[in-house]
Amino acid sequence: MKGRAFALTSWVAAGALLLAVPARPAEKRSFVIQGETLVYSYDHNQIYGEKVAFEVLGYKVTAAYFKADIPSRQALAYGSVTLAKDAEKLEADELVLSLEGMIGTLVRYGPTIETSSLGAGAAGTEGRIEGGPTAAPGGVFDGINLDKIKKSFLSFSARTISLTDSFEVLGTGVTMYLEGLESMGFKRFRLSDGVGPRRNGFAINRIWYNKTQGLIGRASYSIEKPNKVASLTQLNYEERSFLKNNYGIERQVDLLTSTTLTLDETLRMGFTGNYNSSSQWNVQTWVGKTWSPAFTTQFDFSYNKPVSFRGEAWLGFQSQLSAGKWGNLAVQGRYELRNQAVAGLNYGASFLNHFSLNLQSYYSRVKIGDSRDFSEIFTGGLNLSYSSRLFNLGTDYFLNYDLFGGQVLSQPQLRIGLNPIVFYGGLLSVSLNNIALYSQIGREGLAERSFSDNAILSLAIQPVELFKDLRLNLNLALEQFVEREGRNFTTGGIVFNAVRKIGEGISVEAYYSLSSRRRTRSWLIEGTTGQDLSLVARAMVGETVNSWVSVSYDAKNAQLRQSFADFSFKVVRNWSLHAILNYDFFLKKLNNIDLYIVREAGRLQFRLIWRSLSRQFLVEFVPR
Amino acid sequence: MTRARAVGAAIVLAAAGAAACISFDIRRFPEPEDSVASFLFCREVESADDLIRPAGETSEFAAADGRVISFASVRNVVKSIRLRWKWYDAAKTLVRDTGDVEVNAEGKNLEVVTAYDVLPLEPGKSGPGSWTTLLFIDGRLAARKSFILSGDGGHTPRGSGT
Repeated sequence: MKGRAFALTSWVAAGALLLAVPARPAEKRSFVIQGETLVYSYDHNQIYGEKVAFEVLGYKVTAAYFKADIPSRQALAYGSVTLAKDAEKLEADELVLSLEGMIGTLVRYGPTIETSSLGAGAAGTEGRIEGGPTAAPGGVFDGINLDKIKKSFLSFSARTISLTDSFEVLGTGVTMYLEGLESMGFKRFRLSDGVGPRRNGFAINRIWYNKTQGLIGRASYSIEKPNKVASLTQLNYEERSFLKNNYGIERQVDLLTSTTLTLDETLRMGFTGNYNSSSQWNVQTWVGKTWSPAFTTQFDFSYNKPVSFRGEAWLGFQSQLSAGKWGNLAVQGRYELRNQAVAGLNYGASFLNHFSLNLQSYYSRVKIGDSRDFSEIFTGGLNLSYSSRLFNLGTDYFLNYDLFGGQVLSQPQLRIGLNPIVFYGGLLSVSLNNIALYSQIGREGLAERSFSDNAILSLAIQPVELFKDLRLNLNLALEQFVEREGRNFTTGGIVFNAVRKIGEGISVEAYYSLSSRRRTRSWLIEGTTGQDLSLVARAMVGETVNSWVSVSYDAKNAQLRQSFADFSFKVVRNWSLHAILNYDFFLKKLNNIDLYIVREAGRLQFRLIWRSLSRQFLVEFVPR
Repeated sequence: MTRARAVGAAIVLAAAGAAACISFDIRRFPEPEDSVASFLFCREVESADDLIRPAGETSEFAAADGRVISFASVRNVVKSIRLRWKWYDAAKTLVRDTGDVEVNAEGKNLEVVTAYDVLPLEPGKSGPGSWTTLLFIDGRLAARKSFILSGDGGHTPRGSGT
């Protein structure tokens, strides 16, 4: 009862808050369009209008047609376009608008195509722009028409459509259409969220109730001044105390904040902070200096307080230098006030066309848990490689020195590879690779050594067209692995693939693979052999059918194993059916069936799903 | 029981009567007049019933193709309308203007009207590039589309309009 009362109170409070604070701060409507016909596609975030009127750059504009593509922030009014401001009257065939900067271009189709600019310091200047109508882009507007909007999953018609500064789309006198059929009418309706980040203001992003998570609230506050300040603070709140089966914490609060200040072109600083009501928090402040495009430095200070442990305060420094042909150098170091430290150095360079060198070195001295002991480790790596048209050669050296435990791991490695060599006009290709590895672990005067060598020989033939519509492919591989302990493995494999085209978009494929792994130790030879045969039938008919069925067969034991099928059919108006099936011949049962009914709707996908395994029926809206 | 049946029958009759008075006004998506349903380029046109339809739709032509067809279909034509094509070459100069061509002079109520204009190409006259074609309905620009002309030569307009 107490829980219900709390839930009810929460909802009333949330409702009151929603009424008191607009879900979105009232933003200036920068662009309002009226039209005899005015429609909006939610799927594609596009507007189409006929016999429209709007105001832009101080002009009252009328036009026969109007198109807007919100994601690219472009609009086009065309067909007897008139612009009137006081006594001034302009006429054109097209008015192309950049919605972001509100810059317009007038286009007139006379004996030549003439353009003139409007707005952004160019108002009133007219004349032919050499090079043609760069302001008359075709692509984005070619794709907008009444038919496309009508075929949207979710579309709206409206008396007026407004765009806010953050490109939210609002409508008045709105009728909503689902698959082109009217479903609801609204006096005023937000047709779409903004596509740009919200600037300067407080917003309640979400208040939601969920049976498993309880009551969820999300709010944010942001400030943005271009090239000066960018700040975003988010507050997340979850209340679970009134849930019947809540065994975790009753409520949780997360506060996240991030601010970046641009002091000048080369100097930036920032602050980030996170707080969680389970008593963990961290803050970081940093200053970044760009000395030149090739040389940057950053200093930072951070404090991190984990749950149940003491907090740590770190001072950090990192710098990067790009010295062109002399290579790239990165240095970083961090020191903690309780005597912990980490440092790293990385250098990479390429020289003499074929050589590359990479050098890394890291040192860390960090506390072991909350004890007084430290782990102290030094690691280093050196990599030098040479590559040519015929072969490549690489050598690595890795060192791990545990200064606390007094243990040293030293590991040199040599790699050599023969690039694929082709024979018979490219029909046959052979490649050979070898990796030799030596390890030495030293501790308290004792040394433990091991080595291994792995040689891989690969042989492949290019796909061969044997007959009309029959293609064959063959791959062979042989691998020899040698260890100091005498565990020597020999592995060989063959993969055979044949594809037979039966008709347009229909084919049958067969795969056969045979692999064998043998281990020799003194006189004993042991190992395993595996065979796999599978058949796949595929059908791809235009965009309507895209399906395949596969059956796998265990040739060694002469029995069918599994069958998988994936059927996909396009039905109508971007609706498609999709089924995934799996049959197990060994258990003689249909393991799994997943059925999907999918509607592709531009920036979202609507899916009805049935899963036999979990016996679930799901309805999903998935943003694309 | 008889009384219950009588009440039931009365309810059914009343519901049927009420149903006859109820109508559901399912509003259709806006269908404005003289709306350009498609405007594209093709190599050929074919006859289909009373209409023509485009074949070999493309936006890339070569001078050797000999011609470019601009195909338009206009929906919901309820009165006589005037169609006009303008063609601009890669130098943005008008090379062909059909003038107004009257369509549906009888003022019939037509669901779709299809029409096309042909730009003949002559190699060796002007440079290749992006050409622009415009469709005007009753003097208003109603559609614009561009195509790419490639090839060794150029093209000169010739012939009459639609």
